[in-house]
Amino acid sequence: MTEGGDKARAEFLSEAQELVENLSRNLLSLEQGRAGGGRIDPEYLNEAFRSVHTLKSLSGLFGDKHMSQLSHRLEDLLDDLRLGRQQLSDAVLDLLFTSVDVYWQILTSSDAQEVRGVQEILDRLEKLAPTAATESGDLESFEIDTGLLAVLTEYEEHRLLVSVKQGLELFLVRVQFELVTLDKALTEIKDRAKPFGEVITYLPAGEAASPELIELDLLLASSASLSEIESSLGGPRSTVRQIQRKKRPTRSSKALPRPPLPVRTRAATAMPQDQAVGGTEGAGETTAPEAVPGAGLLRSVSQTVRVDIHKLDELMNVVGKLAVLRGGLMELTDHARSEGQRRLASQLWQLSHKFERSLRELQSGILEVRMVPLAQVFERLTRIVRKTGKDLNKDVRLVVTGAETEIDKLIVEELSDPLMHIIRNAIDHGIEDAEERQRIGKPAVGTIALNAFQKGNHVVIEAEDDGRGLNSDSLLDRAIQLGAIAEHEAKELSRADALNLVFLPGLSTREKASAVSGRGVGMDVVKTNIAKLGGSIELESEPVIGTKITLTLPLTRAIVTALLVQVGDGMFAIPLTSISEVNALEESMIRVLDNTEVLSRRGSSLELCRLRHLFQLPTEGEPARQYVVEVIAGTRHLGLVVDSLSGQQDIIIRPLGRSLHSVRGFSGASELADERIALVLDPGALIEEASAGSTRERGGRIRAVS
Amino acid sequence: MPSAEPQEHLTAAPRPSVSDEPVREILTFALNGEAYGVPLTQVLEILGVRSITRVPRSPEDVVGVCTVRGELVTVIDTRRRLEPRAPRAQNRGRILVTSTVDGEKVGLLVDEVLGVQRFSQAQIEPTAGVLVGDVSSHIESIARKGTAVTVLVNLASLTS
Repeated sequence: MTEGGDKARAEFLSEAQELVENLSRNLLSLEQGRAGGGRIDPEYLNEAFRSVHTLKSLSGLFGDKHMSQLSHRLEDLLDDLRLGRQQLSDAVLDLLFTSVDVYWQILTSSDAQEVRGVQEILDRLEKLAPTAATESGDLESFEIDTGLLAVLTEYEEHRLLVSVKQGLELFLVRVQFELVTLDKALTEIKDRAKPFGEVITYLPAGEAASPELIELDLLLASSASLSEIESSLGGPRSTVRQIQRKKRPTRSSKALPRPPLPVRTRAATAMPQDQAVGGTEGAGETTAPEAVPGAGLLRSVSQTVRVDIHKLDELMNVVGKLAVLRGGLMELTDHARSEGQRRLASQLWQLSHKFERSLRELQSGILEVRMVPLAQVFERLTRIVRKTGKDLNKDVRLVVTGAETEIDKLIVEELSDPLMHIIRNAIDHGIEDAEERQRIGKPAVGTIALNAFQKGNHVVIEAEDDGRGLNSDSLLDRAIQLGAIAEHEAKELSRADALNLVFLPGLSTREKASAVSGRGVGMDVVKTNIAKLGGSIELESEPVIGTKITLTLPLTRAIVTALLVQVGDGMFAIPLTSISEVNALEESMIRVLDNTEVLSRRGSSLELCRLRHLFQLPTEGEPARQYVVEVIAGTRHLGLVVDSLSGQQDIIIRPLGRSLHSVRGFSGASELADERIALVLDPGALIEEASAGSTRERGGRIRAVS
Repeated sequence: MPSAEPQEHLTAAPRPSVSDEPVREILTFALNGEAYGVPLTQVLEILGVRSITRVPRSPEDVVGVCTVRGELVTVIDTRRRLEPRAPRAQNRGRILVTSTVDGEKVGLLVDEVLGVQRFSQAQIEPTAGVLVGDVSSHIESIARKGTAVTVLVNLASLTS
């Protein structure tokens, strides 16, 4: 395939992905609306229909056969749902969610032949028998103008029947509009009508007083009273009339009277855009996070540019190069000053400061563009919870807070798998089945709370379940079985240490693969993946009460401010976000506990790690005065002993190559402003290593198990 | 023994191919007096001596890291990777920069760049079964021209 073709395909995939996400979001809103027992906002169905419709044309354009076939069938189904020809049952909803999964498979599979389940879902969609609409709203009980009924589109007719069935009253609102501002005024009045009803349709009425004016009849279905509607919609230019119910209904009818009537006064379109502005139903249905009205959606699309994240990386590289140039400019300034050229020096100084300011603006601008809300990954999790709960026959709900918290796009991408694994674990091993939950007095429905928030330069994500909690005894047993610890050592471990065994390679891997959690990916992999992102993971668990896993992640990996330290001939960078304090090392304050150097201060103690020893650098040249940089990962601390401090710098961390993947303690390397290379320390890994080391010293030998 | 005589110079203009036989252009380099070669098209650039930052606790066959126009390059001690018991490389010579399948830049530290050689398929013989031990996994074939022997290295295997 040509490069251009690849690019077009990548754009197609990314657009399709957005559409599938949108579909999924609206299906979830539908399901929530249903579960809440409230009325379902028809706008969700319309929005889902629109996504699939666009997917259909898009995939047709790109010749994606699977996606096109699936979209075609789904569009039919959603259209039936929209028009009330099909009931939104559990089975149908299930089928819709399965379709979303199949879309994902199509999108993520590199080989079109590999996608399984397409034919199966197509068959299931085809076999889906249309269920007769049960809404037999008694329209004839209303004194409604048959001329009006005759011009309703199928969708409008369906909405009218639904409204009547719900026992809503019908009103006719006659409003005068100025022709030039018609569209705007119409949208406005629909928005105003929204809280208490739904505008079913609007038609030109009568003759306007002047050629600049137009009079419309709005057919409104509402639960509010005439006076309430008059007070909110009424005005000098509008009159509200309630459509009266007939005293005695003549007969009930399942079909609308459809007298053969003239041509429709306005085009009835197949696409529901028209109705999209037609307002949505009642109160209490405002749960949709992004219920964007059709018009707003169109506009935002036209103002958005899709950018490959790697292009932003390239821009960030340019920022890095500019920073090196700025370093050169500063050097030149110093040079000029030392040569006594004060005027030149001061001009250069000013220039380099302006340069620096613009550079910072550029940098933060690029960073801002990279930021996306966590909602992107959380939505996928909602789907996982739904599916996993179903598969395991457990009733689980996911309560999400802070989905709007923003984080670097690249981090979001990499968070998907670890979070998915954590959530699946919680459902599979944490949440008890309904029977057991009721026996011990827990609500039958299990809850997983996903809570995200920004904390300084970090984003914290907590996943907390109300399940049975981790069993530290069985963790210890497994660790002994695997030979990671000896039996007598197990007794000495605190509960917290025992719980941390879950992160040992091989330990959380089940002997038997379950279809849900699978085998092979354990918590150790989750931990490694989080560490690769520069984050840390912590686990708390109480028997019976539940388990809480806390992820702490940097806002971005694109650029970080780091403290530069010197050890031997080497320059090392420590991300500022993981430093809690820096002090001169007072040798007199050091105590040795179990072969580990500990600094006691203010009643607490800090374990020390001499980087010179750890990195096996020659001991000669060790300065008399050294410094302790206290680093944190989650709640754990470690004091890194370094020779000297060399200031702060914004650095771009580049991952180490494959040949260096086995090297512990570094998250990458960075080119400094003076073109030297600093290795970037990974505080999480160093803390990990130190605590494994000190556990060993205490006799609680934890060997690597793989 | 393969010899490391200087061969055609790098800048020599490519000679027009006389026959239609496919010809492979090989960049040859010297390691401990022996001639090795890699496909010319796979070498992105040749760097002179520069400062290489050692990475503490790294494998013995990694010299360290350096940057080329902002990109991080892992520099491999080529000889040690071919022969794990060879003495550690000194930081001198040339670095051949190549790219792995993942797009990662890897530098091969070699003693000296000899030049570009053109070999016909007939001059290249596979080494399957000829060499044993750790060396063979990174060696693809052997090219002969008269008595001169050039060992062709499998870059994908060497850099992974």
